[in-house]
Amino acid sequence: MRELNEIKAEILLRSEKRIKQRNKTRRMIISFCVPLCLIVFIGSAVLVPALHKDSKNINDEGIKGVVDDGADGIVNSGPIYRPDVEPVSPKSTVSVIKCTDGEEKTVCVFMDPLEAKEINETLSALLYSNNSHTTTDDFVGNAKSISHYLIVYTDECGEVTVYKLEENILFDTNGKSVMLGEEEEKKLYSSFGIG
Amino acid sequence: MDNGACSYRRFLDGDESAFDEIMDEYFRGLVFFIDRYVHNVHASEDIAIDVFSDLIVHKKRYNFKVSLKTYLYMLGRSRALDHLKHNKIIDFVGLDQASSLADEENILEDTVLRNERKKAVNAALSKLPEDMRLVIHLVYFEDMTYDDAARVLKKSRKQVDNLLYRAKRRLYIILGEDGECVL
Repeated sequence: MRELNEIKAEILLRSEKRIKQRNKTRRMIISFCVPLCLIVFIGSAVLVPALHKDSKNINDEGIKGVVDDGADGIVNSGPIYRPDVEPVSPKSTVSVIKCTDGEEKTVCVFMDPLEAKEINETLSALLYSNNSHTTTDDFVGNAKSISHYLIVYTDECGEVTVYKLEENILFDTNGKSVMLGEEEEKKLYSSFGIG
Repeated sequence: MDNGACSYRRFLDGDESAFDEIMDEYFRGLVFFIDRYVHNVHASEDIAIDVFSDLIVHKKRYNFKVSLKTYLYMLGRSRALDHLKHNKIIDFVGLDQASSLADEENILEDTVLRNERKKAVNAALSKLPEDMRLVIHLVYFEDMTYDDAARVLKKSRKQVDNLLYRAKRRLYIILGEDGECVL
C-alpha cells in the first residue's frame, strides 16, 4: 500500500493528464467541426443556385433537342416546346391546352417571351378586328362542341389572358368572339402545331 | 453528517485542503470496497485513484443529490465492473507475488477495520456470495443507509433488505453462537 501523499500526487497527475486530453479532444472537435460546418454552409449557398441554373440549362437543351428532332410529331419552324416543360421564370409564356370531354391536356408551351407576346398580339388583333362581335355565349363551353383549345397567355407580371379556340371561332374572356377565315384558321392551328 | 458533500463544495470553491479531507476520509474505504470486486489491492488502488481523479476532472458531474460517499462508491463499483470486463483473461500470479498481495490485503484490512468484531465478520464474509458480501460491506462496514447501499449496488431498497436478511442468517450459521453478538 502506498502512502496517501503519494496517492494524492498520483491523483493530481492523472487529473492533469485527463484534463489536457479532454481539452485536446475538444480542440480537435472544434477544429474539425467549424470548417466542416462552413464548408456545408458555403457549399449549400453556392451549389444550390448553381444546380438550379444547371437544371434550367438542361431544360432548355431538352427543348432545343425536341425542336431539332421534330419529335412527338411536332414539326414547326418556331420554337415549339415540349408540353411537360414548365416555365421556370416569370417570363411571358403561352400554353395551348386541348379540352376534350372535360379532360385537359397541354399540347404545347411557348417559352420564348417574344413569341408568346407575338401570339397574344395576333390573337387580340383577330378578336378586335372588324369581323369580331360581342357574344353572350358562355366562354367555357358551348354544349355542342366536343373539343376545343384554350390558349393561355401569361405576361411578365403573371397576369393571365385566356382565349378559346373552338373549331373556327376564337373567344376571349371579355365576351368577344370572331369567326376565323379558312386561311387564318389554318395558320393559327399550324402555328400551334395542332393543324 | 453530509458524508463529504460539504468538503466537496469547499473544494469546488477553491479550498484545496478540502480535497485532502475527502481523501483521508474515503480513499482507503473505497479501495477496500473495490477490492471486494477485483480481489487485487493494487488494481483496486488504481481504480480508486481514477475515481478520485474523476472528481477533479468532471467537477460538475456530482449533483449533491446523494452523499459524496455514495457517489464515490457508485463510481467505484462501475469502474471495478469495467475493470473486470476488460481483464477477463486469468492473470496467473507467482506464489511470492500472491503472498505479498495477501499481506497487502491484510494491511488494508487492518487500516480500514480497526474493530475486532468487524474483522471477524470480514473473515466470515468470504464464505458468502458476492452480492451478499457487498451489501453487508456497505451497510455494516461503511455505515450506509439501505437507500444509499441500494443506489451503489443499483438494486431496489427491498432487494437490499432481502439480501441483508439472508446474508445475516448465513453469517449467524458461519459465525456460530457468537454470531448474534457480532451482528
